[in-house]
Amino acid sequence: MNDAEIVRRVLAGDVNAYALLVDGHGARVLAIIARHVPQDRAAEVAHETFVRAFEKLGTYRAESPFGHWLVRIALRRCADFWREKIRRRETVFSALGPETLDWIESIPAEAPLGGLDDLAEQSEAGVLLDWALGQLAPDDRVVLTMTHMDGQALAEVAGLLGWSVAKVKVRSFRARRKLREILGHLLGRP
Amino acid sequence: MDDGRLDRLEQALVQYARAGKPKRQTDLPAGFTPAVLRAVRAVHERRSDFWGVFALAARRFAPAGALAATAACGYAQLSERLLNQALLALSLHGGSSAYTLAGLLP
Repeated sequence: MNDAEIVRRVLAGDVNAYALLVDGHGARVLAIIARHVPQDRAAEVAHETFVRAFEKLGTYRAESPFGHWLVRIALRRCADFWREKIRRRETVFSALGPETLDWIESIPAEAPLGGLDDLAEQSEAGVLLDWALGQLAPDDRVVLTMTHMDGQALAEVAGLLGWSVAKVKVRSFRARRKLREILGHLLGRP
Repeated sequence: MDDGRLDRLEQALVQYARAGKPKRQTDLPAGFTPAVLRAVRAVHERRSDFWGVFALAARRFAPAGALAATAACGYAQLSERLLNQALLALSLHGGSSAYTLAGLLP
């Protein structure tokens, strides 16, 4: 039975058939969400994604694969997750400890770009990355993670977010410029 | 501070992000699907409850609603007719008839 048939069954009142969709797409959705929210919150956001998808199931048109439709909802939930964090002011922007600041100080000015493996393996890089991404708007964070960090193609990102390629390009460019501004301030730039 | 350090800082962060990709665990936690099903069943029941209450309220208040709707329509029709008469009278006889006709308005 394909996804469209399962959706039809669920809409006809067979709620238990929804388990087939959760089992079929759960791992992929969770993997995508884990790229955008903290690891320990990914399952919670995935759960919300499937509940939201169920609520909106009537709007699904079988023109595109169910997986794409679901991933779009998942990415929106990821942006909502950061929006909620900002609203609740849970993000601690002064979280950069002395170790992270020392790590920043150790960044060389002239090493080859490919020779940063040792620095990139340290946990301080993760702390700084989370902090810097936390300064961006939620949508910018999602699009920058997909294009710049994961290296996904613009067309693929556009398809997943339901945006035009031009919009992805512009948002990604602006988000990267903003990220560089933030990092530049950290390095003591004006 | 030059752009070289900024480029290298950005590059180190990108490398960190990309290196973290395969380490991410993607297995669904135990009990994930049953938990989702419990939540969607609750959503389904809430929806059913809403339409149940709606149907009950509609049946319970249908006679009173029909009566109220008839009264409202009748009142609107009567008001419209009187207003039209008033406007016609004003156009034919001028302001002197306004006092008389205004008293007829509900």
